[in-house]
Amino acid sequence: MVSKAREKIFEVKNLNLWYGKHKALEDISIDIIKNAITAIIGPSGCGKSTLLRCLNRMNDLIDGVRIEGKIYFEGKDIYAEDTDVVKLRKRVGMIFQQPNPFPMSIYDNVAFGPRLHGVKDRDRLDEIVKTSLEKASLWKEVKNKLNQSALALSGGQQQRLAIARVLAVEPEVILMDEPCSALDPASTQRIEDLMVELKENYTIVIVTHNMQQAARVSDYTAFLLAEENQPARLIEYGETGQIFTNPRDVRTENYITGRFG
Amino acid sequence: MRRQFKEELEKLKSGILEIFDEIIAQFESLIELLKNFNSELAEKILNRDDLIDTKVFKLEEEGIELVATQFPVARDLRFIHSILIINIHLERIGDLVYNAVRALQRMEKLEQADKAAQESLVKMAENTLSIIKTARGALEKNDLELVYSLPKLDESVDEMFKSFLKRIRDFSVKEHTLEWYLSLVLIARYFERAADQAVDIGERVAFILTGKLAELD
Repeated sequence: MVSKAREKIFEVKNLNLWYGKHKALEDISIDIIKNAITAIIGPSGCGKSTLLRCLNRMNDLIDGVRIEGKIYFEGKDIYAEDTDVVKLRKRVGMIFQQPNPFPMSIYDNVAFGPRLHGVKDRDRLDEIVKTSLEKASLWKEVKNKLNQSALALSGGQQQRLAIARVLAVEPEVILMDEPCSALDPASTQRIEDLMVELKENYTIVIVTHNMQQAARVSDYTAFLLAEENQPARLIEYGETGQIFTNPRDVRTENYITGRFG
Repeated sequence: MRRQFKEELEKLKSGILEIFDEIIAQFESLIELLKNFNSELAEKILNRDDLIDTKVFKLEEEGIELVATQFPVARDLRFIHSILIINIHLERIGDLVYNAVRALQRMEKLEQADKAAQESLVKMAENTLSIIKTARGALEKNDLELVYSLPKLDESVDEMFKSFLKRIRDFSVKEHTLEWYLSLVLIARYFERAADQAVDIGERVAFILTGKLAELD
């Protein structure tokens, strides 16, 4: 499962994060490997999504968030003053639990990002929409109804549309926050298959409550845990096969085997 | 932890220990048979093997069902996986006991060619049984020390097997005693294999406890 190349795309160094006075993350250091799927697992409220959102500075949108430490993306500090956050979020896209398509046509949903980034040529847009939907394994299902409302699609199709929308702006990394938790098993399977296909060309970081999903799709697994009245720490990070067969830390073992708490 | 799953894991462990006990009982009967052959006891041992096989299959089904329904990971996964392999080792030890009884039945129809050798065979069976009991103790108590004591115990059985081969060579077996000696060596070979299976069981116990797959030496 593990990619041959182990080049790191993100380097998180001694990251601490506060929501106001509440410290949510403590001293997190982790390298995210390029062209691999990294799963972040841990109990509810342990800061998984918070850590994920640090990677494309989505936390900037929340009042009172303060961070210390460094996050390097392709060697560049993303919290440096000269960072163009819009460009960062183009390179590091995000998929959420709810697909939330825009109330517009399937075509316009996918073309939305490229248009925002200045693509106006109709042929070019057609090409981007087609390629993105193909990469998201949705093209065959929607090619004859591109002008229909995206809201008419099923939940699983909407999530693949959300992926197509992210792919349309040609990101390098896709962050996924519980992307399958609102989907049925068949749709979940399609998204998981898609993730494995996409890692050829993209780096994926997924937050999931579903440990079987983490075990099935990811190459690397990070376990976060906020012990009683403590901020979340990275307890263990390693190759997924090792984490799920022979975790090194007893807290990881207790969590993944359900002995936690 | 999920209570039902915990109970199922405990049930799996008591199931494998029960099969262990069946095998130990079979071995004890076999030793009795080696000392004083009695055809009724021989048949009893042979018949019990079917019962053990049934228990082995049942345990395997239970283990597979747990994997399918509970998605075990980490130590739980290593435990179930190892129990299923130990289950196979025990089934094979059971088969070796069965084969030994069959060979002994053949021997009984022949003139005893070497009383001392037959007495040594009893000693070898006792040593083998002691290894099987040690493997059981290691599994029951999660005891790595017992696991690591197995190779040394196994050496004695290996040495005894070699001495049987040497004995046949040194005694330059006569034609009319050949069949008797062949059966004797076959039985010794079954014990040597059974002891090896018990050592392999120890390797599985070590895997459950440490997560490391390695040959014991």
